Amino acid sequence: MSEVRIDALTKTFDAGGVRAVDGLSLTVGEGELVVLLGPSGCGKTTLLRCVAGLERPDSGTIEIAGETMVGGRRDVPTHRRGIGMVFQNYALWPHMTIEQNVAYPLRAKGVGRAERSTRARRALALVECEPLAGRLPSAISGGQQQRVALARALVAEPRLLLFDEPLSNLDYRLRAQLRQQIRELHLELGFTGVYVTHDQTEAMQLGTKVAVLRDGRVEQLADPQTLFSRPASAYVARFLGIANELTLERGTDGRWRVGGAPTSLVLPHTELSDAGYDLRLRSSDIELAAPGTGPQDADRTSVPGTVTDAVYGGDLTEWIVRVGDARLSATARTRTWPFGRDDRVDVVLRRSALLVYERTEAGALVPLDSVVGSAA
Amino acid sequence: MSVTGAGVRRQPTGWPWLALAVLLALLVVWPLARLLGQVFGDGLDAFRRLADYPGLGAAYVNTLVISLGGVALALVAGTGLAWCTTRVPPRLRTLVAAAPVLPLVMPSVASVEGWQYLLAPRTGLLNRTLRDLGLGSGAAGPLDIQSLPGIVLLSGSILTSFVYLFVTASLRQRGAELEAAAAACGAGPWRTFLTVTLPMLRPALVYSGVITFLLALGQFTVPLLLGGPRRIEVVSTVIYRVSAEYPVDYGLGGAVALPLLVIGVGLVAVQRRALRDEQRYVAVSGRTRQVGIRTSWWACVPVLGYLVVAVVLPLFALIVVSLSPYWSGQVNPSVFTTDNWVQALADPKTTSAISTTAAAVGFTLLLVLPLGYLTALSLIGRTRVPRAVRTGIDLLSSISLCLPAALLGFALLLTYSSPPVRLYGTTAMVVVAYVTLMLPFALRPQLSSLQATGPEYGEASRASGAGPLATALRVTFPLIRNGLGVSAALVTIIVVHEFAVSLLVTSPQRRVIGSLLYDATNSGIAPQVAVLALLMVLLTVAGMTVALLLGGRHSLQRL
Repeated sequence: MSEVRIDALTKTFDAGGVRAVDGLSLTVGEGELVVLLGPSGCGKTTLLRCVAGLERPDSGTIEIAGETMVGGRRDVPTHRRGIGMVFQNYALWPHMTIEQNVAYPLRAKGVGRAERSTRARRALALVECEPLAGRLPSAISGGQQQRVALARALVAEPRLLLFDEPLSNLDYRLRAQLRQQIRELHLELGFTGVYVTHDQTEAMQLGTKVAVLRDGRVEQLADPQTLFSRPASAYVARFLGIANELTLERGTDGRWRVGGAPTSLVLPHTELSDAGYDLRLRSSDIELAAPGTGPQDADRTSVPGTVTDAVYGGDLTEWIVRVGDARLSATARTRTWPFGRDDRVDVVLRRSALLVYERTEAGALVPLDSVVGSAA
Repeated sequence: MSVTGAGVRRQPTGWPWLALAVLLALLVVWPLARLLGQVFGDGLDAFRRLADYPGLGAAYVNTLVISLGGVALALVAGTGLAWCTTRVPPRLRTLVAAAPVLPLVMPSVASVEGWQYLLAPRTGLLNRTLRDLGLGSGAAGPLDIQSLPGIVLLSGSILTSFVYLFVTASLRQRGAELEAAAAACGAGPWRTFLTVTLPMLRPALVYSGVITFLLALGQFTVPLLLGGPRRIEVVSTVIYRVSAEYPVDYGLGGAVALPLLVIGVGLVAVQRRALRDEQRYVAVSGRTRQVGIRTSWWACVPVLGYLVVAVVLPLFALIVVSLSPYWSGQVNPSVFTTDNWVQALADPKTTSAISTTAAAVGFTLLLVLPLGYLTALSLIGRTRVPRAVRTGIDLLSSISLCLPAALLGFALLLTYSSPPVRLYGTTAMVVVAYVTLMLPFALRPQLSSLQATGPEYGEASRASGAGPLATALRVTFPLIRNGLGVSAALVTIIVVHEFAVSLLVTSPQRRVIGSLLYDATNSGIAPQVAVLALLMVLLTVAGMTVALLLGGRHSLQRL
């Protein structure tokens, strides 16, 4: 019983200045771990802090487990919201031992000394830090500190866990380890949680759902698979690192031109306007072929380009290809293609991999699959 | 967990903080308002009496000369010392960097009296030595501390420590990488100093310049004790003389001090504006290190020289005098006696002054530290304090910094020696006066400690389910222990040293040690004065040690 309902939440900073959170609504179901994903300044941390009661929203309501936390005349202070929270910089109190840190939420609840110790050690065991119990935070590593902070957030079995970019201060390897640990804890304990991050890998691996935020609103709320394969807007696509961008326009002969080059792609032209679109492609969805050998049929098209660099990166190599004014990146296993700098190539695009976005401020995704196309 | 009961509704913002603002206003603004009421109460009559007051023009000129001279001296010497301590070999750096702060432990009364015994025209020890060496002639000279230059030099020496504190903090915080970068660009040491070091120090220099200038404007101890024989008056001493006549002409005294009040408020306003774009001077590097600096043992020499002038020599003179049966300017170890000490400690006046001082320090700490904590909390912006209330608290808490101590003492004398609150002659009056005076000093270290610890510790505590009180007791206080220790040490030092307010608000029946010492200088018994001055030093050291022990081992460096 710990569903979180956020409704029409607005929070403005600096009296009339930026709206960090702008009429946002979001529901986190029981046992779900919703990841708030977005670049810095999109309002994700502000939203989390509003849920925690560390910021007071201007308007809107937040309910946890059916009880109003904020809304109308109610504003439940942080310490009565029944939450656990993990901070970006760990926020372990330097003057307390690890065990005292972890036992603190129990102490605040008035749990007796003996039980406090047992439960704190159990929580520490959960994150594999039990041997550290007697040490001070300054005497353990960053990864261990964040594990301890996790234990502290879990120990009192709060109805809601909040994560504020908990892995951002850790190095690459530790991040992967802790990510896995949080995932396993969520599977095992089934807590309800809200997790803020700007790292899409973290979002994909941890979230039962991911909410991409833009200017204080939810741009897309979806499970990781959907988010990854069908980013709902150009903004989401860009944020997810789908770097390749080409224009899609209709030529005077009525045929579609990709990046300025004529194609034989079959697109539902009756449904599409003449204004033109933006095409986005993952670099793993682009193939290269020797010049003149690229296929041209209903499902595939080829545009000519020039390789400007082949960046060797161990297992994978990235080919940078110039097509007209655009710079494309194609990633594949090393030695997939023999091309090097200044080689002319055909860039092969598959219809099923194309993400077509309207050329508007909203940049909404055009659903190609749902429309049955007719021949051009 | 169900959420019901008290504290669930919108937290009542404002009211508790408004109460704090009102309390601060009562402490600081009320006395000032009453004094201004006296000044303007009978039209402009107070100013007419002001025009008739003899020697007032000279007093204003002296005040200005002493302030400008003292501050110029302190800025140059303080910056020089700070620069020197960065050039000291690493092994000695911690020790040498703490040395220029040491004079703060010396009460100014003690250094003034010490230098009197060294450089008084007739009986000064150094003067006698110089005459014996054939320099100067007759029974006096060649040097004279009881002169305007003497007052300027001694004031400058006392203020040097303050400038050093600010400048050295700024240098340390920045590290030497910027200088190293200038050197790598081909700039020589002198060019580096002029084009990088000095501009980067601007905020510290502006800040310390204004603070020391305000202190110098209110300078009281040095001119009162050194200017006496030649009748060199400054504004503060004039106020004191007005307060010593009965009935006290509060209108006149307030009118005398009015220009200082205006200058003080103006300067603090200018200072705030000047430091607003402080961002420009925040070093960008994450880590600060003292790298690539050429060190030299010679850098210790100026620091040692300053210590000798500010501490060693006057302390030596005081000890010698306190052990001599009488003082004639000669050191004669064969007649040394502890009689003066025995006598002083047996005198009920001394013991009562010591216990009054100790009690005053204790109660002041007890009141001003929590007050400073609450004020810091309201200023730091992590609690929901209405903007107007916060601005009010900010201004109220720094007003007493821009007031000359003698003026504040005068206003407090007026306020608490007449209805509705009659406290004159009680320890309570001394405590109220000290609390008013000490608020900025109790506030700043706690504020910077809070700022340094960051908001997330408190937030983590609240997110763990602890209420505001539990958070304060278990998390915030332990974390700002350092700042609390520094606040306590500062308050102790300044209260024990305090002279102007002490002279004004203590009655002859209830002296603190500072006012008792002034009585002794008036009766002219040098060994007695020396003993009391040394007792002040001892009290300071004792109080400071306790405060710093409470504050943990790092607080000394942060002082």
